[in-house]
This record gives sequence, structure tokens and C-alpha cells, in this order.
Amino acid sequence: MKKILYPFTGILLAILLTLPILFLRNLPESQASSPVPALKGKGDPNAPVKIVEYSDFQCPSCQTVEMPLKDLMERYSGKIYLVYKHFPLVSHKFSPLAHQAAECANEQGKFWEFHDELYKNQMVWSSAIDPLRIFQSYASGMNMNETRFARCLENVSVTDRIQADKREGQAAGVVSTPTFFVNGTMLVGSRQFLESADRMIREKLALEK
Amino acid sequence: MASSRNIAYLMLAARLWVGAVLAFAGFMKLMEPTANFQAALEQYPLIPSTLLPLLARTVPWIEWIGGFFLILGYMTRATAFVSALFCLGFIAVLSGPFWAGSSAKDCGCFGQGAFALTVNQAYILDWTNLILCSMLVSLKKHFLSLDQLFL
Repeated sequence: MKKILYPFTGILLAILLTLPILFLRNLPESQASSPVPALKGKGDPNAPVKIVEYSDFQCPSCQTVEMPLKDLMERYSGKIYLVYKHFPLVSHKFSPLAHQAAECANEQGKFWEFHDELYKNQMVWSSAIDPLRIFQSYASGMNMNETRFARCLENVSVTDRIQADKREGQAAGVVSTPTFFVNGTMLVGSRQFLESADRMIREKLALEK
Repeated sequence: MASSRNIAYLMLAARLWVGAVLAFAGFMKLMEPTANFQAALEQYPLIPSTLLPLLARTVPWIEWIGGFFLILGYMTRATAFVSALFCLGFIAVLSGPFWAGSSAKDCGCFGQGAFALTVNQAYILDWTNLILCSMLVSLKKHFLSLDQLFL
């Protein structure tokens, strides 16, 4: 009897092992246990100030705000947690590709390096005929796996993640870039951010003391 | 008597180790798009490109189910034999990059997740698992296994 049950046990085990995988694979992306970091965050996640930035890599205003934002992060080191969210604008021709490339860099743990490179050389790739080659050269310069990077550039689920960021922004009222949320307060455009962010952070930190 | 019991415990530990490594590797890859593993396989020139899609689809499933079969001790010798063949395959594929001094930071063995092994680490792991699988194949009875219960 036991010998008859033996092959059936194997079949049952195989089915039992297959079902949870199929279930997990069919879960919406937000629920599935994704090994890829969903958040593109910088700083201490428990910091008193949380800044969420909705930005477009091809938007000049977003590039302008990068240096002051970096200065803020350094000045209030350990006090700010910055989260980057994709918000590619339709009007920017190469923006979707740039965001896809940055998200692919994120999959290889190089998001911020790639982010910096994109803003630093915004003029170069924005005016190029084929920015894809430029992005690939950045990836190669950062010692990324080039095959994986190239394949990821065509991965629709990565595009979906970018669009999910954008939809989230739109739901929160974002219509242009850059838009920031400093502890939930919306600041639209680089000027408003530069004028208000520092004061808001100081106020928040003063309250903490 | 005591030494045979020690051997049984050691082989149980070996079985659990190899099974867990395989199941974990399979699980991590199954949670990602197949294209990711295929891209990881593409970095190894020894694998013919025509086989890449098939391997990317089947290997993670075999690792996952085979790993659990080993943990539970079901068809232990046959599963250990298949696992040993897998290890041999992995070793063959990794040998080129290993001896060429590959600087790749991720062998792709555990998907694209946070847990990554270098080619050198994976090479050592596969040799270890190959030795352990060979030992499991050579053993007729397996302590605390479904085989013991049924056969």
C-alpha cells in the first residue's frame, strides 16, 4: 500500500509546490515580494523630514534644483529622507527612455549614480540623436551588467513601475515637475522649493528639539 | 553504532543544506520575470543561445521542486543525482569566468535580488554542493525522510 502511495505523494508535492509560486507570480506587483527595491530613497528612513520628489530627467527645472537639494541633504545630514518618484512628462521626447534606464540602474543598485549622471549631462543626451547609446555607456561606466541592463530597457513591467509612480503623483495632485512633498506639504517648482524647503525643515527640526 | 548515527545526522544536514540552497535559488528566480534569468545566463558564453529560453524557464522550477524533494527526502537519491548534474552544469558554465578571473559581482544564481554571489563564490558553492550530492547519491537510506517512511 505504501509503495502505491509513493508516486502519488510526489505528484501531490509537486502540485503543492507549484501552486504558491503561481499565486505569488500573479499577485499585483505591489503585493508580491519583490527583490527589487521599490523605493528610490536616500538618507535615514527614520529621519524627521521626509521629502518626496516627483521629477522628470529631461526637465531643465528639475536639473536646476538638484544642486540645492544636494546641499540641503548635506546641511541636514541624517535629518532628511529623500524619495525619488518618476514623473516623465509627455512633452519630453527622451524622458520615458531616461526613466526606464534609471529604473534599470535601480535594479542593479545604481539608481543614484545614474540619476546624478542623467542630470549632470542632461544637455548632452537630450540633444543627442540616439540617447540609448549614451545611457548604455553610463551603465557600462558604472560596471553594470550590460546584457541585463539592455534587456531591462525593454521590460514592460519596469515601464509599469514608472507609470505607477506617475499615477501616484497625479493622484496626489502633481501636474508639473519638479513637485516636492516636504512632510506632506506640496511645493511646486524649483523656485517655491528653494524659497520654502529650508525654512520648513528648520521649523520641523526646531519643533523636534 | 554511534558513528553510523553521526553519519546519518551529517547526511541529514547535507540534504537540508543542498535542498535549501536549491529551493531558495529557484524561488528567487521564479519571483522575477523569466527574462531576468535569461539575461543572467547570457553572460556565460558556454551556454548555446538556442537553449537560453528553455533553460530560463525550466531551471528555476527544477531547483524549487528538487530542493523541496531533498528537504523532505522524497526520491532522495534520484533528486540528489539530478542536483549533482545541475551542479556539474553550473561548474562547467562558471569555470570559464572563474579561471579568467571574472569581476562580475552577481552570478545570477539567486535572481536579481539583494542576495548576490560573485562568480568565485558560486563556483565554490557548486563544488561543495556537488560533493554533498554525490555523498547523498551513494547513501541507500536517508534519515528522517519520506523515503524512509514509504519504502
